[in-house]
Amino acid sequence: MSVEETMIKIEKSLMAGRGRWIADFTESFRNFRANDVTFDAFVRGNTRMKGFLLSRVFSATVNPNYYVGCFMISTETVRDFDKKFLGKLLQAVRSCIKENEMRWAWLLILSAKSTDTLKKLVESIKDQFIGVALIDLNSGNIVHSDSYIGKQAKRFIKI
Amino acid sequence: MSQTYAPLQLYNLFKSCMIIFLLQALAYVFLAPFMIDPLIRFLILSLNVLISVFLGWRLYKRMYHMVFTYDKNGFTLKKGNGKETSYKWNEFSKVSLVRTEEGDFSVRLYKNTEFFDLPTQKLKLNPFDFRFEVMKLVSVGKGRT
Repeated sequence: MSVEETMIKIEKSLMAGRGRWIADFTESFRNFRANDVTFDAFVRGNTRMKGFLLSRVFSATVNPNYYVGCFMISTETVRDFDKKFLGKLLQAVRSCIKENEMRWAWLLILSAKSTDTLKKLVESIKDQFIGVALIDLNSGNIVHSDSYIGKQAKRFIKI
Repeated sequence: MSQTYAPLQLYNLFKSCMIIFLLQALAYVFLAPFMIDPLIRFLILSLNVLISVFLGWRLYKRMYHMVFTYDKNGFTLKKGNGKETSYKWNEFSKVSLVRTEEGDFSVRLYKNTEFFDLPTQKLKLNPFDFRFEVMKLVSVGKGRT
């Protein structure tokens, strides 16, 4: 599966599939620019689900209204995907979280050949508000950061 | 060359017919005590269905039917008997894909802080593919100004 196909699949699953169990993702941007980084996709939403009558009342009274987001970037579009660039990505996500008053965000890195170095880098991230997940396009394996949000990314994102 | 999309929205057509049918059924509730003969009841029901289809179609065309025309310069969207909305692609700066509360996908075009939604799913266009086409048209339009 190509990067573009995978991205559309994830986008669909977030906006109309299993992603709706975690948040109501309603809007998706392509080639989204934050700071001086261009993400391939950015999907945003909030944790208050929309439903019909009872579920809407239930959601409005029980669920908190947090804004959340999911950033996607492919390693193919970046020349050197190293520790420095990953730091730059996280900084861009953090500033976007602050700007849009988001509670948490996912950063999905799509890679056709994910190296052990990259896997270790992702696993070492301990940010509690950004869940980072490295998705191997060939095997479908997902490596995630060491946080609750990171673990949730593995649970809700399937390719 | 311009392209036009005006698909039949079956759900909205059904909704229009049902509105008319239920209104007639409500009127019948008051008349029912005077119509005991089963043949007359059957005739009234048949007439009710026929009128619902006819007036439902008229209501659908008046309220819901959409005609969307676009070319490389801009687009026009007309809903029912309402006013036509026309825009040039270069008036917009950003494009996104949105899921509405009803669960339909639309392509959202941003004009500074304002936006305009193109109901792609109702127009039977693939929203995921059409979004990329609109992104191209918007970027080409911006380059042209």
